[in-house]
Amino acid sequence: MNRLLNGILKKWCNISFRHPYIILILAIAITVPAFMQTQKIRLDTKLLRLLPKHSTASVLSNKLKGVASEGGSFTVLLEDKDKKNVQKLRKAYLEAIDRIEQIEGVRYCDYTYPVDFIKKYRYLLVTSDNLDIIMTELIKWEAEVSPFVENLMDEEKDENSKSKESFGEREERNNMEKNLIKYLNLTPYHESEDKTVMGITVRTEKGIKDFGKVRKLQAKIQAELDEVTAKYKVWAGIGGSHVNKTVEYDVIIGDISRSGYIAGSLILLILLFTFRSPLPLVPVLIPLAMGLIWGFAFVPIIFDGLNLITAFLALIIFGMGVDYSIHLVKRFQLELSTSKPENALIESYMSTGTSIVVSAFTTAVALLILGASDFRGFSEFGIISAISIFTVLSAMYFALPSIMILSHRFHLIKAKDLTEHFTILPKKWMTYGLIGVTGLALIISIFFLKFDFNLRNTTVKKSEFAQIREVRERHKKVYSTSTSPGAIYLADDLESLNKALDVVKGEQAKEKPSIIGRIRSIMQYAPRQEEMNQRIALIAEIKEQLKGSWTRHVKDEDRKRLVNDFKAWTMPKNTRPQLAEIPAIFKKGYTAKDGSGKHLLTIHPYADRKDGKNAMQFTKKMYTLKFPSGVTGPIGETAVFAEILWIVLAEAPWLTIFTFLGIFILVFLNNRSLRDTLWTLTPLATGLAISLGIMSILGLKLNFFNIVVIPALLGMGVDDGVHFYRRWKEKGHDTIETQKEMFEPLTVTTITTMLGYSGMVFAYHPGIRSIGIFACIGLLTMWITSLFLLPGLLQFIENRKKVDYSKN
Amino acid sequence: MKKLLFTSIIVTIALSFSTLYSAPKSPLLVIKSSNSRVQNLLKGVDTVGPATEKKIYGILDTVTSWSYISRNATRLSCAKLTTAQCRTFNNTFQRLLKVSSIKKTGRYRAEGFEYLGQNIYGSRAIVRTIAIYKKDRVTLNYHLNFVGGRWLITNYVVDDVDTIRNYKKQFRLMFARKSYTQVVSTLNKRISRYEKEL
Repeated sequence: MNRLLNGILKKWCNISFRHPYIILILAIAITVPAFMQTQKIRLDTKLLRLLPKHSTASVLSNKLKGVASEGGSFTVLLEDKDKKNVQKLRKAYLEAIDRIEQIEGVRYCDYTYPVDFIKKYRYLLVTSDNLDIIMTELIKWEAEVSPFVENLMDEEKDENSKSKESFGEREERNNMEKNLIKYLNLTPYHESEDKTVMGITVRTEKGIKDFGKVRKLQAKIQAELDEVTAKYKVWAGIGGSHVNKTVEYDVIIGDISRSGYIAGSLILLILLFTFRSPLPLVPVLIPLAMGLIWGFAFVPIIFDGLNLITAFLALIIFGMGVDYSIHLVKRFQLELSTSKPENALIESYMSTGTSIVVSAFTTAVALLILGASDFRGFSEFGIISAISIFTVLSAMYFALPSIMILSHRFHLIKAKDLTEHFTILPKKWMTYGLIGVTGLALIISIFFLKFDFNLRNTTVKKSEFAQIREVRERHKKVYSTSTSPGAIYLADDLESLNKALDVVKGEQAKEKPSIIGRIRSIMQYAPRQEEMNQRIALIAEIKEQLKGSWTRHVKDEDRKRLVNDFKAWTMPKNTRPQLAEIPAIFKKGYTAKDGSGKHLLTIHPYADRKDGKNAMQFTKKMYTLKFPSGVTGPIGETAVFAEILWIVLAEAPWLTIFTFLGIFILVFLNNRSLRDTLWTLTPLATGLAISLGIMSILGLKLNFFNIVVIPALLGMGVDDGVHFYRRWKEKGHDTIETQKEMFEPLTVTTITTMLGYSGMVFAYHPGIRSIGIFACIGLLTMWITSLFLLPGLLQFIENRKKVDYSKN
Repeated sequence: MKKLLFTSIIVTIALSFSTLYSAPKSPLLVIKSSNSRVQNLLKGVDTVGPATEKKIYGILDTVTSWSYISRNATRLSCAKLTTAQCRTFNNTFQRLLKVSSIKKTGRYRAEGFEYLGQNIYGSRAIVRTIAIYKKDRVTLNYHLNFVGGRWLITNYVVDDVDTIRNYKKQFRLMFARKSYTQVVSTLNKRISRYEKEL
């Protein structure tokens, strides 16, 4: 078999030597349509995109598409910078509304509150759980004003106490307080308490989804606002979910560009350094570019596009793939010093070419194993990488021979011998030291390496962007900020909705505290009699609580206002608003956005849902709830996050094991010797152990982004061991000569692969950044073990054999 | 005859004097005397140190029934606990009441009192006062019970804040959200904090 393959290879080298132009034209002919195909690649940065299509979250999200969300909105904020002229600001505000409503693509603007409705029903609209919070606060305030009572419920004030108010309790209380204070000062318009900032929610047409349309619409709104601000001398800004999404998208695109420039520039510098001239870069880079284009042409065919994790693959494959052309071109240069070009070409491919095939196959197979994962962040990463490595390898065999021949003819490549190579020879203490470090690193990583469950550490903090921060600061003054629900359900009718509410509340009552927090629906404003009776009873209790003269000791202005307002308010005769009476602004939040008239039920977790453990616990609870027919759900970012974590935590260990096994088998098939296989894999295993130890020491954690680096490192890290060991055998076990020959090319290829990832280290996106950091650490440690540990160990064997030989 | 009459008069007078001296103080007197003793202690003292706090506690301890206050405040919560749990809860809360009284009395010392009178209902009484504190006049009513031959304070109501009622509400809310162990732990942590400061 080997003879047949060698024969074909020799034949191909001959053809490439004789007809380089034809082959080059053929290669270009394949590349051009492939390039056109790559232009169809789209980037989808949604977390949902990382889940398999059959996952519960994906299925439900597709089923309830357009139901829970309108696709986004803009929030326009205007501020009177002088903070003096309320009338001026109001005029600017009304004119802005008028102009914006005329823009094509804008459905309508939300800018008023139903003041009469709120004033009439006031505290009857507050849910019983919020009234309970008010009662709790009043009891605390009462305790605080008495010199004989301890406030035992405010544990935050207890300095020695380790337990604090839980996230859920704090969020509930803050949300309730903000809403109450807002409704105390209610005016017809969306405005801040001091009336210096006013807000407009701009609802867009359903078709406004893709970023292009969103940006165009935003530009139109901005143009209208510019005229208003110039006329009235007020500040205006645009925010909202549309803006947040485009900013997040722009951040990723910015990261890709920045990473590309940084990595590309650094790789070019390294190539210049290693070849000492820009001319050889032509044969190095052209087949690589071809191979990459061929590989990425498959992306729009096989997948919908790129996701958050695969967005940077082109850069990574560029860094990995350039190794192959470096090895081949350098080997060709070396062979040219002793042979004619045709023979040099054949010899390069017979020797280095074979090593490249082995290393490409091991890398590609290792990555292909990721294709079995349900987590699309892994599977698409693995499949696209494997395909691209194969296409790059194909380009190295198909196009590079003819390009090298042409490059030689045009004096772009010249003969080069070994004497110019830079090398460091391994010392005994390095070898012993690395053995010790490996053991220590393994122990440290077993005990200290952690998985980061916090979503905040792997997503872009939008508040870091000045554009968003400016608007957010003003947004907070006008609107009470509340987190989006952890789960949203759709109920076909009121009966299903009420049954669903009973199910959820029943589950909530089973545990104290329950993971189920606020439960909201249209019934908040038109509750059933039972809930209304509860509210009436609580209101009566609160009024009773407020009867004492202790209330005069309440100092805080907002609290005073709430106390006085509550005391002064009298319940209306008709205590229960009817559904028809509920203003549109309240209905909208809990009605399906597809115009079906169905009802939404939202549930917030009573814990920080950005903590993956809470997200998993909450989602598990939601998935186990038995709802009546007519209720569909849940959907929400929390469920998506939870499912991602479930898959990653379940699959990552198995994928790592199978990847290692796959590599082991491939290397064994190539070496046909267990001993040789173990030697080849030594730098890989030890390098990975040391990298995990370094991560633990630096306090870096694994997360659902960077965990993909482990199998990727296994695939990439094996290359150095394959190349070095093979050459060591070819050189008759002469470690020093092998080191002299291989040190520089292996260093350069490791650096280029690292540089492919290095751009990601500068990404804003923390998840992407963690991939870059982990990969760079891993590649560095594998370089160290390949060029200082493995040679040291092989030198040790060599010396022992010499001693045995001399004894004999 | 004369001798008998004279002896009777002497005995009667002696009995009257002994009755007079052994009669329990009225609730109002109990409050007045304890308040004035505390005020005398605090006269001329800018900051209340541990030694003064101890003396104040000594005065309060003689006129307060901590066990009564504790039992009443924890009664509703105890209905849902075992006997042993209730006992622990009660004892812990009593300790907190004592420690807290030392810490709070020093801080909230009144500059003066106006005594508005007393109402006695059998073995219960209410002494009505106005406490003057930093130019603020605060209604402070003492509830007392006649226990073991003397009047002891069993509740404080400050500007309509009934101490026992407030604690009952706090415990109701705490037990609705936390376990028994967590509630007792909260009390113990507060006690430890105060004891460190004493």
